Amino acid sequence: MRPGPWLLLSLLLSTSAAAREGAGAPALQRRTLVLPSQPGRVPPLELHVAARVATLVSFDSPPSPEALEPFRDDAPVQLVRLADGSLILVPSRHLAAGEQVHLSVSTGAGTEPFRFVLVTRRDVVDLQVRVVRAPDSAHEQDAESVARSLLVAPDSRASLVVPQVTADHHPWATFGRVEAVLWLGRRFFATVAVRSRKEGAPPRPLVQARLRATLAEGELLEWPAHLLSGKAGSILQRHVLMGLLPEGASRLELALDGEAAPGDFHPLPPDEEPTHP
Amino acid sequence: MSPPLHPNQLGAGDTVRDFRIVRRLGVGGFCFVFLMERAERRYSLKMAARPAPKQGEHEDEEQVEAWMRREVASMEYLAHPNLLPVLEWGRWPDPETGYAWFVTPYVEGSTFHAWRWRERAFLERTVGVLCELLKVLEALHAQGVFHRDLKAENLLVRWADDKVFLIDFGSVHLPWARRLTDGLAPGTLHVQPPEVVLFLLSEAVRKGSRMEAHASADLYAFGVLLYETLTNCRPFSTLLPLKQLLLAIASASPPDPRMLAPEAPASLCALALRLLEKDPEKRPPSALAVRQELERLRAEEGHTAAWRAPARRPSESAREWKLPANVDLLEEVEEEVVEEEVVAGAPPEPEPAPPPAGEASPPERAPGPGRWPWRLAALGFLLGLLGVGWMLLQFTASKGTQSVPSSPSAELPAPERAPSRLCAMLTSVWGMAAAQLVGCATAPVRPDPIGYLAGCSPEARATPVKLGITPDEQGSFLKTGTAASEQSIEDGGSLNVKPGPVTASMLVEMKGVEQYVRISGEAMTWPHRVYMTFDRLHLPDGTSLPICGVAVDDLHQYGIPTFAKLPNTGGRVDPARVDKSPGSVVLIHPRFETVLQGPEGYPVPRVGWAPPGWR
Repeated sequence: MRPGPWLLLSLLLSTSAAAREGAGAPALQRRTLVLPSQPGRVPPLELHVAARVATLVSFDSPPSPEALEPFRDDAPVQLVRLADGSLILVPSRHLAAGEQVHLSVSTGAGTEPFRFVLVTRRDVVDLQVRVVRAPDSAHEQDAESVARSLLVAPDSRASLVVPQVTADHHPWATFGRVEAVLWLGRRFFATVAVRSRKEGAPPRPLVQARLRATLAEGELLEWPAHLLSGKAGSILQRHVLMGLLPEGASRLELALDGEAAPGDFHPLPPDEEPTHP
Repeated sequence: MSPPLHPNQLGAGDTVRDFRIVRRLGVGGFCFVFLMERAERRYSLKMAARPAPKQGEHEDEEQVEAWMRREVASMEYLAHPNLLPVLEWGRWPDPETGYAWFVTPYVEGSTFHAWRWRERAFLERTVGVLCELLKVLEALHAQGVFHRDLKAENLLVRWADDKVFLIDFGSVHLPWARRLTDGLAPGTLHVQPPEVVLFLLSEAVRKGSRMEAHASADLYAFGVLLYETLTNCRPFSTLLPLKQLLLAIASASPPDPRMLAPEAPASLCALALRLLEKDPEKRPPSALAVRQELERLRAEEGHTAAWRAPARRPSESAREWKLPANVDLLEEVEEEVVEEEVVAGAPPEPEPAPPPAGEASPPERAPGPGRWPWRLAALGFLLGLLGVGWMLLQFTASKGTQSVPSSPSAELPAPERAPSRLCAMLTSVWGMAAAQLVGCATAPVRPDPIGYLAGCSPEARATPVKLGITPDEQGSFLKTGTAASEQSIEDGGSLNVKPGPVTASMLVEMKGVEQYVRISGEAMTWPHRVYMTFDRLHLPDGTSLPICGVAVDDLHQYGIPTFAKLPNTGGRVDPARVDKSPGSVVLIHPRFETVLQGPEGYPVPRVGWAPPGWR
């Protein structure tokens, strides 16, 4: 028998209250995650779970029940399937630092499975996560002329907004840095340089750049940026990522992902004049 | 030695199919260009920097592939005497999965501006070349084809007969290839017409609408070319921040050419401004109409002094016309010596077509240059050949030849007051961090990297050119210091740095080959920043040469931020390993960039000061 809405409701009510207990409790968040076009090439999507907090995960393309890769019996997370294909994740305990629980969901033959990794973070926990497919990105290609020019015009980059603290470092002696951001209305272009900090070692490839915008009522939208990569040099590679800030979004953040090494989100500077002296 | 597997490894003597590489001519963001030889004839070969995309491959691989395909398709479709045909194409090293390449005839000539400066061409002769170019555009437009990246770097003019060739069809609009070519014109930004900029600014793209390709955009770009020909200046300054440049293109009128070039014929200036009209409807209706007007003016006025004046170089324009300082003069490309190509081997003829009616009159050689300019043959042309032009030359042009000021920049805040002797001594011996620790914070002796570069000796300036070092920010790794974590400095770990002598390993492209060299100099520490100057370059053979180099960070700013200022950067620092002695600071990793000073005209990357709180 499949659990009904009553179970969902009771779980959400009880665990939300639990999550709010005490000062310093993690912030509850609602997120919409746009799937990458090639999930196998990028790190799995991270779901932030916490002990006794139910996380509802819904899909715009519901998986068939048999396509769900089950947890082991001793897994620290209880998984409940709803009739509409949604999942409820309820950890019995906080996952330890560095501990990850993998979840794989397939939507049918011929498609790459959705891959998730469940982690516990001190600061946030997902209450509701909506997983959607990427819309047709054909229109993004129209902006590639600007991106291409930015890749080959270093002085143009230098004259743009330079965020001093927007940096995102990868392990393995590679680090990425947002060099410049160009805003054209709500459309933006960010130039990212990925450098090796070890002599003789090529920089690790940047496999994905993820964007996060805060929408009305605090919901977060996370989606993979359209990325144009320059020539891979011996110790440096530049990329230009582009996107469109959703209507009404108040904040934009960027995370740079290496292979199997998702980056943290850092804010991108808003649309303003260069701050250079 | 293993055979080359990447275009970057290809060098003189290697072969692609049965073509032998003479040398690499240039490299852009997406392709390499080589001078090739086969059966004692010379060719140019363009090779993608990415291999054939695999299924589900990253989009940029597919994009590079698409550009190459489009260029080959264009050349095969557009037979014209002023276009370079694709003779052969394929993949290397694997015929199915390797890097796409194609071969075209090799032309001895220069890019358009370099040609007219080199030849000191009369305006009347230059306009003749432009008329030939317009014939190409007429033929393209008649077939519904639009070049969309028309500019001087994409025009080659053959020295022997002034024949002009239009190159780089990577951005072309082909009428049947809608999927590839619709959308914004993917050409160089500063020659984009206002309607394209407005299209982008309007965010119409988000609705999935597409920018239709029109002949008027090519005519606008031709207007930019004519404007540059008349003035040696760009109509909209590329020195502006990019956003302001786009807004200027969309909304501002370019300066009247006669303000920049008082001797320019009024008729041609008026035509240039009409071609640069914001409203495409107000531009001349077709390439044919522009050519007819140019030919008429040439016939009527070609004998006048203004039309018979030899072309000036930009530096001469600035001097003789007393141009304002903020004018964006064209890049005066220093042409590279390519004697062997010029002396040896007859180049294949691209297309033995008879000169069409109305051909430019036989090239009269203006007095001035003798044979020496051909020895300084056109680097711009060579690099522009086969379309690497917009990628590589835009890079060069956008860098500009920022001649370092002869005196410290006005940007540099001068020392507010003379430091006390104690503070001066502390600063010189232990660095600013130590001086500030003992109360010298009100007597700063700011590092002066700009002044250091400006005061560079001619011998030190000559070194980068002598060694053939490609101008750029050179990736460097500090070798002096002690580890500030368990990770070694060699592995990229954090390090303690003190003021005083330092050495670093610097990766440079030397005559087209990447290699590490050692550099040595001085470090000056500051609580938030480390400034370093370098005065010697040590070659692997043990010899050393003078240089002037300064360290910059990964945001093109003088100096490198310390861990104290930028702690949250993912690196590890072990407090037990931090050197707490006076003047010592921690860098999160040993990587930085070095900017080298060169002689006048040597492109220097644009570098600025970090914001006040970060210095």
